[in-house]
Amino acid sequence: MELFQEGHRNNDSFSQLSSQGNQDLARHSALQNIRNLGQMNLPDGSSAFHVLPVIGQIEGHLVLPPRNKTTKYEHVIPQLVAIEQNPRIKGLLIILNTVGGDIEAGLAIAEMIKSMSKPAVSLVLGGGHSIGTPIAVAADYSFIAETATMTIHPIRLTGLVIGVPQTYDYLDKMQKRIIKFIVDNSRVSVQQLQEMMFRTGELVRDVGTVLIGEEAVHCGLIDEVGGLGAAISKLRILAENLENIDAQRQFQPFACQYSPFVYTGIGRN
Amino acid sequence: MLYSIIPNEEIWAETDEVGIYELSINGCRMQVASVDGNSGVLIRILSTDPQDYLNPKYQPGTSIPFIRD
Repeated sequence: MELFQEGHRNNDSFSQLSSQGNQDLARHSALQNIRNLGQMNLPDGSSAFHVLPVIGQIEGHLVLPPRNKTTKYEHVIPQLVAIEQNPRIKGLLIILNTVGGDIEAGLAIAEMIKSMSKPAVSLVLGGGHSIGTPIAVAADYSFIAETATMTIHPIRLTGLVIGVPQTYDYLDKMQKRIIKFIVDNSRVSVQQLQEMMFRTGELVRDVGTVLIGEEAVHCGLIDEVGGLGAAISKLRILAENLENIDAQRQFQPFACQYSPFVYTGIGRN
Repeated sequence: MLYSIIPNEEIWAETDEVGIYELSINGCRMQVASVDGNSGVLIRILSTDPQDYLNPKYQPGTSIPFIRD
Protein backbone atom coordinates (compact mmCIF):
# COMPACT_ATOMS: atom_id res chain seq x y z
CA MET A 1 0.00 0.00 0.00
CA GLU A 2 2.87 2.30 0.83
CA LEU A 3 4.40 1.65 -2.54
CA PHE A 4 1.07 2.34 -4.16
CA GLN A 5 0.87 5.74 -2.47
CA GLU A 6 4.43 6.43 -3.46
CA GLY A 7 3.38 5.88 -7.04
CA HIS A 8 0.58 8.36 -6.64
CA ARG A 9 2.84 11.02 -5.21
CA ASN A 10 5.19 10.54 -8.11
CA ASN A 11 2.32 10.96 -10.48
CA ASP A 12 1.38 14.33 -9.01
CA SER A 13 4.84 15.77 -8.90
CA PHE A 14 5.49 14.83 -12.51
CA SER A 15 2.13 15.84 -13.84
CA GLN A 16 3.44 18.96 -15.51
CA LEU A 17 6.12 17.13 -17.46
CA SER A 18 5.99 16.52 -21.18
CA SER A 19 3.42 14.04 -22.48
CA GLN A 20 6.16 11.53 -23.34
CA GLY A 21 7.30 11.56 -19.73
CA ASN A 22 3.74 11.12 -18.56
CA GLN A 23 3.20 8.12 -20.79
CA ASP A 24 6.34 6.48 -19.44
CA LEU A 25 5.23 7.24 -15.91
CA ALA A 26 1.75 5.80 -16.51
CA ARG A 27 3.23 2.62 -17.95
CA HIS A 28 5.63 2.41 -15.00
CA SER A 29 2.90 2.78 -12.36
CA ALA A 30 0.71 0.23 -14.16
CA LEU A 31 3.57 -2.27 -14.09
CA GLN A 32 4.19 -1.54 -10.43
CA ASN A 33 0.54 -2.17 -9.65
CA ILE A 34 0.71 -5.62 -11.23
CA ARG A 35 3.96 -6.40 -9.42
CA ASN A 36 2.93 -5.16 -5.97
CA LEU A 37 -0.75 -5.91 -5.75
CA GLY A 38 -1.25 -8.50 -8.46
CA GLN A 39 -3.81 -6.10 -9.86
CA MET A 40 -4.25 -4.83 -13.34
CA ASN A 41 -5.52 -1.35 -14.08
CA LEU A 42 -8.95 -1.52 -15.60
CA PRO A 43 -9.38 0.13 -18.99
CA ASP A 44 -10.23 3.79 -18.48
CA GLY A 45 -13.92 4.55 -18.45
CA SER A 46 -13.84 6.69 -21.57
CA SER A 47 -17.24 7.51 -23.01
CA ALA A 48 -18.58 6.11 -26.26
CA PHE A 49 -20.19 9.47 -26.99
CA HIS A 50 -18.16 12.63 -26.85
CA VAL A 51 -19.55 16.08 -26.22
CA LEU A 52 -18.74 19.34 -27.99
CA PRO A 53 -19.99 22.39 -26.10
CA VAL A 54 -20.35 25.43 -28.35
CA ILE A 55 -20.59 28.39 -25.98
CA GLY A 56 -20.32 32.17 -26.20
CA GLN A 57 -18.92 33.65 -29.39
CA ILE A 58 -17.56 31.44 -32.16
CA GLU A 59 -14.05 32.76 -32.75
CA GLY A 60 -12.36 32.55 -36.12
CA HIS A 61 -9.97 34.91 -37.91
CA LEU A 62 -9.87 37.56 -35.19
CA VAL A 63 -9.04 37.02 -31.54
CA LEU A 64 -11.84 38.59 -29.52
CA PRO A 65 -11.19 40.65 -26.36
CA PRO A 66 -10.90 38.45 -23.23
CA ARG A 67 -14.29 39.44 -21.77
CA ASN A 68 -15.96 37.44 -24.54
CA LYS A 69 -16.47 33.80 -23.74
CA THR A 70 -15.44 32.01 -26.92
CA THR A 71 -15.40 28.69 -28.72
CA LYS A 72 -12.28 28.68 -30.83
CA TYR A 73 -12.01 27.27 -34.34
CA GLU A 74 -8.49 25.93 -33.69
CA HIS A 75 -9.73 23.91 -30.71
CA VAL A 76 -12.86 22.48 -32.28
CA ILE A 77 -11.60 21.40 -35.72
CA PRO A 78 -8.79 19.08 -34.47
CA GLN A 79 -11.17 17.63 -31.87
CA LEU A 80 -13.63 16.75 -34.64
CA VAL A 81 -10.82 15.12 -36.66
CA ALA A 82 -9.78 13.09 -33.60
CA ILE A 83 -13.37 11.98 -32.93
CA GLU A 84 -13.79 10.89 -36.55
CA GLN A 85 -10.64 8.76 -36.37
CA ASN A 86 -10.97 7.23 -32.90
CA PRO A 87 -12.67 3.81 -33.24
CA ARG A 88 -13.77 3.84 -29.57
CA ILE A 89 -15.91 6.94 -30.06
CA LYS A 90 -19.32 6.01 -31.44
CA GLY A 91 -20.95 9.41 -31.74
CA LEU A 92 -20.93 13.10 -30.95
CA LEU A 93 -23.33 15.26 -28.98
CA ILE A 94 -23.13 18.97 -29.80
CA ILE A 95 -24.49 21.26 -27.10
CA LEU A 96 -25.18 24.81 -28.24
CA ASN A 97 -25.49 27.91 -26.14
CA THR A 98 -24.02 30.46 -28.48
CA VAL A 99 -24.68 34.07 -29.45
CA GLY A 100 -23.18 33.59 -32.90
CA GLY A 101 -19.81 34.76 -34.13
CA ASP A 102 -17.46 34.45 -37.07
CA ILE A 103 -19.23 33.34 -40.27
CA GLU A 104 -16.30 31.43 -41.74
CA ALA A 105 -15.49 29.61 -38.51
CA GLY A 106 -19.15 28.79 -37.86
CA LEU A 107 -19.69 27.42 -41.35
CA ALA A 108 -16.40 25.49 -41.17
CA ILE A 109 -17.47 23.77 -37.94
CA ALA A 110 -20.91 23.08 -39.44
CA GLU A 111 -19.38 21.54 -42.59
CA MET A 112 -17.08 19.35 -40.49
CA ILE A 113 -20.02 18.07 -38.42
CA LYS A 114 -22.09 17.48 -41.56
CA SER A 115 -19.35 15.47 -43.28
CA MET A 116 -18.53 13.30 -40.26
CA SER A 117 -19.24 9.60 -40.80
CA LYS A 118 -20.11 9.10 -37.12
CA PRO A 119 -23.58 9.99 -35.85
CA ALA A 120 -23.94 13.53 -34.53
CA VAL A 121 -26.87 14.89 -32.54
CA SER A 122 -27.23 18.55 -31.59
CA LEU A 123 -29.05 20.01 -28.63
CA VAL A 124 -29.85 23.72 -28.46
CA LEU A 125 -29.89 24.75 -24.80
CA GLY A 126 -30.38 28.37 -23.81
CA GLY A 127 -29.65 29.90 -27.18
CA GLY A 128 -28.49 28.91 -30.64
CA HIS A 129 -28.47 32.28 -32.34
CA SER A 130 -27.16 33.60 -35.67
CA ILE A 131 -24.27 31.41 -36.88
CA GLY A 132 -25.26 28.82 -34.25
CA THR A 133 -28.18 27.85 -36.51
CA PRO A 134 -26.07 26.18 -39.25
CA ILE A 135 -24.16 24.25 -36.55
CA ALA A 136 -27.43 23.04 -35.00
CA VAL A 137 -28.84 21.81 -38.32
CA ALA A 138 -25.53 20.24 -39.46
CA ALA A 139 -26.01 17.30 -37.09
CA ASP A 140 -27.85 14.15 -38.23
CA TYR A 141 -30.64 14.93 -35.79
CA SER A 142 -31.33 18.11 -33.83
CA PHE A 143 -33.07 18.80 -30.54
CA ILE A 144 -34.08 22.04 -28.88
CA ALA A 145 -34.93 22.51 -25.22
CA GLU A 146 -38.44 23.80 -24.56
CA THR A 147 -37.14 27.13 -23.28
CA ALA A 148 -34.23 27.56 -25.70
CA THR A 149 -34.30 30.33 -28.29
CA MET A 150 -32.90 30.78 -31.77
CA THR A 151 -32.63 34.21 -33.38
CA ILE A 152 -32.79 34.37 -37.16
CA HIS A 153 -31.67 37.80 -38.41
CA PRO A 154 -29.75 39.37 -41.31
CA ILE A 155 -25.99 39.91 -41.27
CA ARG A 156 -24.95 43.43 -40.28
CA LEU A 157 -22.02 45.48 -41.49
CA THR A 158 -20.11 47.75 -39.16
CA GLY A 159 -17.04 49.92 -39.45
CA LEU A 160 -16.18 51.73 -42.65
CA VAL A 161 -18.87 50.86 -45.18
CA ILE A 162 -18.75 52.12 -48.74
CA GLY A 163 -22.21 53.06 -49.93
CA VAL A 164 -22.11 51.32 -53.29
CA PRO A 165 -24.33 48.55 -54.72
CA GLN A 166 -21.38 46.13 -54.47
CA THR A 167 -21.52 46.36 -50.67
CA TYR A 168 -25.08 45.10 -50.73
CA ASP A 169 -24.21 42.39 -53.26
CA TYR A 170 -21.39 41.16 -51.04
CA LEU A 171 -23.64 41.09 -47.99
CA ASP A 172 -26.30 39.28 -49.98
CA LYS A 173 -23.76 36.66 -51.09
CA MET A 174 -22.65 36.02 -47.50
CA GLN A 175 -26.28 35.71 -46.45
CA LYS A 176 -27.04 33.24 -49.25
CA ARG A 177 -24.17 31.01 -48.11
CA ILE A 178 -25.74 30.68 -44.69
CA ILE A 179 -29.30 30.32 -46.01
CA LYS A 180 -28.22 27.58 -48.44
CA PHE A 181 -26.53 25.56 -45.71
CA ILE A 182 -29.52 25.81 -43.37
CA VAL A 183 -32.03 24.91 -46.11
CA ASP A 184 -29.93 21.95 -47.33
CA ASN A 185 -29.71 20.48 -43.84
CA SER A 186 -33.16 21.08 -42.41
CA ARG A 187 -36.83 20.99 -43.44
CA VAL A 188 -37.18 24.78 -43.69
CA SER A 189 -37.67 26.37 -47.15
CA VAL A 190 -35.72 29.33 -48.58
CA GLN A 191 -38.83 31.52 -48.67
CA GLN A 192 -39.74 30.68 -45.10
CA LEU A 193 -36.22 31.32 -43.82
CA GLN A 194 -35.92 34.64 -45.66
CA GLU A 195 -39.32 35.72 -44.40
CA MET A 196 -38.21 35.01 -40.81
CA MET A 197 -34.88 36.76 -41.37
CA PHE A 198 -36.43 40.02 -42.60
CA ARG A 199 -39.56 40.05 -40.44
CA THR A 200 -40.22 43.33 -38.62
CA GLY A 201 -41.88 43.89 -35.27
CA GLU A 202 -40.38 40.90 -33.44
CA LEU A 203 -36.97 42.20 -32.38
CA VAL A 204 -36.53 45.46 -30.51
CA ARG A 205 -34.04 47.37 -32.65
CA ASP A 206 -33.65 44.93 -35.48
CA VAL A 207 -35.37 42.85 -38.12
CA GLY A 208 -35.59 39.11 -37.64
CA THR A 209 -37.40 36.44 -35.64
CA VAL A 210 -36.94 34.79 -32.27
CA LEU A 211 -37.97 31.13 -32.23
CA ILE A 212 -38.65 29.54 -28.85
CA GLY A 213 -38.47 25.74 -28.45
CA GLU A 214 -41.50 24.31 -30.26
CA GLU A 215 -41.54 27.18 -32.82
CA ALA A 216 -38.16 26.09 -34.17
CA VAL A 217 -39.55 22.56 -34.67
CA HIS A 218 -42.79 23.87 -36.18
CA CYS A 219 -40.97 25.84 -38.92
CA GLY A 220 -38.81 22.81 -39.73
CA LEU A 221 -35.48 24.17 -38.56
CA ILE A 222 -35.03 21.66 -35.70
CA ASP A 223 -36.23 18.05 -35.63
CA GLU A 224 -37.61 17.67 -32.11
CA VAL A 225 -38.14 19.32 -28.73
CA GLY A 226 -36.16 17.44 -26.12
CA GLY A 227 -33.38 17.36 -23.59
CA LEU A 228 -30.28 15.40 -22.69
CA GLY A 229 -31.96 12.01 -22.26
CA ALA A 230 -33.70 12.19 -25.64
CA ALA A 231 -30.49 13.34 -27.36
CA ILE A 232 -28.39 10.50 -25.91
CA SER A 233 -30.97 7.82 -26.73
CA LYS A 234 -31.21 9.15 -30.31
CA LEU A 235 -27.42 9.01 -30.54
CA ARG A 236 -27.52 5.41 -29.31
CA ILE A 237 -30.09 4.44 -31.97
CA LEU A 238 -28.09 6.13 -34.75
CA ALA A 239 -24.86 4.44 -33.59
CA GLU A 240 -26.53 1.00 -33.49
CA ASN A 241 -28.00 1.49 -36.97
CA LEU A 242 -24.58 2.40 -38.32
CA GLU A 243 -23.03 -0.69 -36.71
CA ASN A 244 -25.74 -2.92 -38.23
CA ILE A 245 -25.13 -1.50 -41.69
CA ASP A 246 -21.37 -2.06 -41.30
CA ALA A 247 -21.95 -5.65 -40.16
CA GLN A 248 -24.21 -6.35 -43.15
CA ARG A 249 -21.62 -4.99 -45.52
CA GLN A 250 -18.97 -7.32 -44.12
CA PHE A 251 -21.15 -10.45 -44.26
CA GLN A 252 -21.50 -11.26 -47.97
CA PRO A 253 -20.65 -14.98 -48.42
CA PHE A 254 -21.80 -15.22 -52.05
CA ALA A 255 -20.18 -12.05 -53.27
CA CYS A 256 -16.76 -13.46 -54.12
CA GLN A 257 -15.94 -14.13 -57.73
CA TYR A 258 -14.79 -17.73 -57.36
CA SER A 259 -17.51 -19.01 -55.10
CA PRO A 260 -16.99 -22.65 -53.95
CA PHE A 261 -20.69 -23.32 -54.59
CA VAL A 262 -20.30 -22.52 -58.25
CA TYR A 263 -17.00 -24.31 -58.76
CA THR A 264 -18.04 -27.78 -57.45
CA GLY A 265 -19.13 -30.20 -60.12
CA ILE A 266 -17.22 -28.65 -62.95
CA GLY A 267 -14.57 -30.99 -64.38
CA ARG A 268 -16.09 -34.23 -63.09
CA ASN A 269 -16.49 -36.95 -65.78
CA MET B 1 -17.11 39.01 -40.50
CA LEU B 2 -19.32 38.42 -37.51
CA TYR B 3 -22.88 37.14 -37.48
CA SER B 4 -23.99 37.52 -33.90
CA ILE B 5 -26.82 38.89 -31.80
CA ILE B 6 -24.34 40.78 -29.60
CA PRO B 7 -23.67 44.28 -31.05
CA ASN B 8 -20.17 44.74 -32.44
CA GLU B 9 -19.30 47.60 -30.10
CA GLU B 10 -19.98 45.33 -27.14
CA ILE B 11 -17.87 42.49 -28.58
CA TRP B 12 -14.90 44.78 -29.22
CA ALA B 13 -15.14 46.73 -25.93
CA GLU B 14 -11.67 46.86 -24.39
CA THR B 15 -11.28 45.70 -20.82
CA ASP B 16 -8.36 45.04 -18.50
CA GLU B 17 -6.18 42.30 -19.86
CA VAL B 18 -6.42 39.05 -17.88
CA GLY B 19 -3.56 36.63 -18.35
CA ILE B 20 -5.16 33.45 -19.65
CA TYR B 21 -2.87 30.66 -20.70
CA GLU B 22 -3.51 27.37 -22.39
CA LEU B 23 -1.62 24.29 -21.35
CA SER B 24 -1.85 20.51 -21.51
CA ILE B 25 -1.64 18.23 -18.49
CA ASN B 26 -1.74 14.46 -19.14
CA GLY B 27 -2.99 15.20 -22.63
CA CYS B 28 -5.90 17.29 -21.39
CA ARG B 29 -5.94 20.83 -22.75
CA MET B 30 -7.04 23.55 -20.35
CA GLN B 31 -7.30 27.30 -19.90
CA VAL B 32 -5.61 28.66 -16.80
CA ALA B 33 -5.73 32.23 -15.45
CA SER B 34 -2.44 33.27 -13.93
CA VAL B 35 -2.54 34.37 -10.30
CA ASP B 36 1.14 35.13 -9.86
CA GLY B 37 4.35 34.12 -11.57
CA ASN B 38 4.11 30.39 -11.13
CA SER B 39 0.60 29.39 -10.26
CA GLY B 40 -2.83 29.77 -11.75
CA VAL B 41 -6.46 28.85 -11.41
CA LEU B 42 -8.13 26.45 -13.82
CA ILE B 43 -10.90 28.17 -15.77
CA ARG B 44 -12.08 25.38 -18.01
CA ILE B 45 -10.84 22.26 -19.72
CA LEU B 46 -11.08 21.91 -23.48
CA SER B 47 -11.96 18.26 -23.92
CA THR B 48 -14.73 16.44 -25.73
CA ASP B 49 -14.52 13.42 -23.41
CA PRO B 50 -17.26 13.91 -20.81
CA GLN B 51 -15.32 11.72 -18.34
CA ASP B 52 -12.58 14.35 -18.14
CA TYR B 53 -15.08 16.73 -16.56
CA LEU B 54 -15.60 14.29 -13.67
CA ASN B 55 -11.89 14.18 -12.84
CA PRO B 56 -11.46 15.89 -9.44
CA LYS B 57 -8.07 17.22 -10.57
CA TYR B 58 -9.68 19.20 -13.39
CA GLN B 59 -12.46 21.00 -11.53
CA PRO B 60 -12.71 24.74 -12.26
CA GLY B 61 -11.01 26.79 -9.56
CA THR B 62 -8.32 24.18 -8.92
CA SER B 63 -4.90 25.68 -8.42
CA ILE B 64 -2.52 24.68 -11.20
CA PRO B 65 1.20 25.17 -10.72
CA PHE B 66 2.98 26.09 -13.94
CA ILE B 67 6.08 27.83 -15.11
CA ARG B 68 5.65 30.69 -17.52
CA ASP B 69 8.12 31.03 -20.36
